[in-house]
Amino acid sequence: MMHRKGATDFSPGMVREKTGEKVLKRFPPRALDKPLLLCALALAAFGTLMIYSATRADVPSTYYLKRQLMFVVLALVVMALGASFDYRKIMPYSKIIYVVTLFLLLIVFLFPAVSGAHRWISLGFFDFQPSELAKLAVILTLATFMADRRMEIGSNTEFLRALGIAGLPMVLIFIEPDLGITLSIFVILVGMLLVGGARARQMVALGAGTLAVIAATIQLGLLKTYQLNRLLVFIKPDMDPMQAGYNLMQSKIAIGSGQLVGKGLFHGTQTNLKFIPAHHTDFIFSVVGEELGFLGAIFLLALFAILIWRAFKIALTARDSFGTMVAVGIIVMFIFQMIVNVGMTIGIMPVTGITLPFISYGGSSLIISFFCVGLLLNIGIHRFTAGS
Amino acid sequence: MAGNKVKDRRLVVMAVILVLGLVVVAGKLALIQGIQAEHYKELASDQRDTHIQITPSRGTLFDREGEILAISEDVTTVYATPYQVKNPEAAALDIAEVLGEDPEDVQDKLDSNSGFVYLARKLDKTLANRIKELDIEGVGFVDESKRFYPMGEFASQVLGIVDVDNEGQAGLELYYDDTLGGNPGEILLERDAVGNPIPGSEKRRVQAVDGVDLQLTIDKDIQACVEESLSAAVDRFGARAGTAVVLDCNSGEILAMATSPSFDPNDRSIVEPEAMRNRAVTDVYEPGSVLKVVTAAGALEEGVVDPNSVIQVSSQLQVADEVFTDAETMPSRALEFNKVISQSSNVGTIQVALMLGNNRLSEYLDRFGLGHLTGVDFPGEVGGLVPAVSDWSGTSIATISIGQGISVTPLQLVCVAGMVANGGHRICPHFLKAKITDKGVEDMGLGGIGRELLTEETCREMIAIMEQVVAPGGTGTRAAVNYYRVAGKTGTAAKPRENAAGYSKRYMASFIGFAPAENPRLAVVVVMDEPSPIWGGHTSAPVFKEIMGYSLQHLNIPTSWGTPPPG
Repeated sequence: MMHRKGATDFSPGMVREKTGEKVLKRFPPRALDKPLLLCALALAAFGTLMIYSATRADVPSTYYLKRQLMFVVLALVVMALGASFDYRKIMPYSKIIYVVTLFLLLIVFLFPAVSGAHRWISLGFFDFQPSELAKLAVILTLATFMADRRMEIGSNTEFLRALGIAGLPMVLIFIEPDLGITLSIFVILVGMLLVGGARARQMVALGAGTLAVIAATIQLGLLKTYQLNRLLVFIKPDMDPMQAGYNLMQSKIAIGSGQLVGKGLFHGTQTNLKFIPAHHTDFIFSVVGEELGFLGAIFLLALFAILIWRAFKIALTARDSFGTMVAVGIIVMFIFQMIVNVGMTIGIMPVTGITLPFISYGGSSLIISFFCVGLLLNIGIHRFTAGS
Repeated sequence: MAGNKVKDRRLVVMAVILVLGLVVVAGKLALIQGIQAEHYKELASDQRDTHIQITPSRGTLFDREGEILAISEDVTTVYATPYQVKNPEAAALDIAEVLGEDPEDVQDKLDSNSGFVYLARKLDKTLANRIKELDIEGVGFVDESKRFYPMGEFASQVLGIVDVDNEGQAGLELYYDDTLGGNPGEILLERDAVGNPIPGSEKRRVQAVDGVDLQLTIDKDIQACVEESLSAAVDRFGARAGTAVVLDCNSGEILAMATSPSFDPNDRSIVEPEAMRNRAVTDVYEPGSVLKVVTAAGALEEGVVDPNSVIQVSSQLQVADEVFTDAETMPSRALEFNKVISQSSNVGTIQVALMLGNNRLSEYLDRFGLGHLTGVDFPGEVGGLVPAVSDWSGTSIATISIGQGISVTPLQLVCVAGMVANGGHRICPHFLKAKITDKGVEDMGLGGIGRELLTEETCREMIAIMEQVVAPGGTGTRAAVNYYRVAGKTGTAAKPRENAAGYSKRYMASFIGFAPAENPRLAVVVVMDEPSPIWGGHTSAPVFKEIMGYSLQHLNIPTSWGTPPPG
């Protein structure tokens, strides 16, 4: 186990020796991971600013800004909520959360399709996206499942059950359709299985099975034409620059023309001239790259890197398997979305419609992300708390 | 806690993988924003910058008296920046009403995914002002100019045309495009979506430099007379086309050049490409007997004959494997050389040409500029086809001496006539008289004549012979002009068959001549394409008479016998 620098008063060893004595039952203030919290807040502020820059040409110019600020406030409340109780209390409820999520994923089909997709449940003031919740539900359910089995998922039965837990919402989300989140959940599953003790041959079998499923999906025509095109364009970007390759090309133009220091906040021309579609959601990173340049983009990536680094520390120092697995799921989710989203804007990942956590406009994504941060803080705070 | 150790190791491995992912992302960012940045920056400015060309006002074309032949009118081009148009549907409806277009077409333009679309190019000012009054955001205006030819069909093949960008496409508009066109200006529009200028890259505006006005040698009254006469003759003789040129034989100035039928450059929707050809410069044909002027001048200059030499003209003449006769077969007879020409005897001319020989005949074709460009300031001139003497067959000297097996342009022929008329000097025909700039009129100094290629004596003798053509007993009596002594030569030549050897039953009728004979000023060529009757003396000569008669009077040239012209 690693020793937390400066935590001389109560090393994890000490805590373990005093198990059962509930020495540090309530929040020891130094256990709050401030770098993690600050990074999350900085990312949200950064994102809000970029959303304003990307949308201030719209009418009214502060529409998206105001909504995003509202979401940030809401997200902070949810984060506090996520950190306010002993995270282990979630375990008994994970099944309920899972079932409710599945139910919500079915409900979306009752709502009219937006741009051909049933992704949202209209709540009046904003449209809730259950698939964002599904990522969290899968993390919590898988973590509970693995913790209950004390990481003994090396058995094929347990391995298959884990696949089933993730697979069911994946199928529903794929049907919506939302390929991006389907892939996110799959990668979360793979990450948690890897860390959670799956055997090499099981992972190989999973890989082979995945390839078979992908082949079957394409063969049976289950992928929408645009989804297929995006993947093809990724392989050969010049194939159709005005259609499927358009987004990618415009994004690269915006980012590339930002050069080292960018064109200045609010002075992006490509993004403002609407060359880039979805410039406040999926392609928000293009705005960052254009207006703030390489330095701004690296700064953003650095914030993410610090956040992930702190999350790793929390995963390593968590007092139990559940905490570790939840942290691992969240880490995988964040970093997968970040790499795929940023990679998509610079042409090293296919365009799949995955949002950039904390930065992209959208309430569901932001609230779930901050709840995850809350959970991470929670796991960190309670790493010294005696186990029951 | 063995399980935890495995878990920790796996976590570290995962962390390493994720760090690698981050490194790849950062590396690609460095590639795009560092190494390839200039490329993307260029692509970006290509997309963002909107260049609008300001067409400069094109120079005016004047005739020699200052009459406007072609002028640029102020018009307005209307464009739109589609994403700035708030309500494309309503805007399209309003704009379409003014333009008289389908609202859907206009809306398609306003809905297009681009930063710039033309709504109407070169729109009349009043219509443009009506659109201005609509005050639609995102719709812009650029003042431009549009070419207008106030006299319609007048000299249309000579003046030529411009395209929608005011660039010369044909005729003098093309030849003097650089001078007339000026330098286009440019507006560079660069802004973000809110319309704010982007710091450090201000809007750029390059002022247009207007074109230079040109004064032509064309005389609008003579040109009008030529066009009327030609057009009437084409109708009267059922000809496919007619071409005529009026040349100042002492300066090379082209006073008129016309081809009928012509076209109206202001309404190009109905123009036949055929009618746009300036045949006098760009089309060659086999001239026939008018070329006997060259043969005769060569024979006189070389002293092979003199005007009164008696030639025993046989009824028919075999040269190599071909037998030649006169147009109407005549019995063998003795003819003075001047009559050989004035009666246009093929056999007599060939007999003289044989005395001259291949080399010397070829030499005189060359001296008269046949087979060479005249150097006229007009695009697309052709030099005609004159076989090199080394390629001549046994019959070439016979056919060429009477104007067959050789092709020339009408402009070359008028220069042949002009050269005899001006005492044997080479002529460089031209249209440009002066450039008119802010600093005043700059004479282009293209006037004057070239070096002497025939002696004055030969020319005097030729003039006398050519006067005989127009005098009673000659072939060109219909070319005679009241009060003026006229010299000329008729020609009637069968057109070569298309895609086959030999000649068709269709004819080109020509007349070349000049006046006044005692002090020549003007040389004129008239060519009729497939007239009926076929004879140059019957169809082209009367047109020559009308043109020459009018031109001499119009220029106030003294009559030859002291009698004042009527009126």
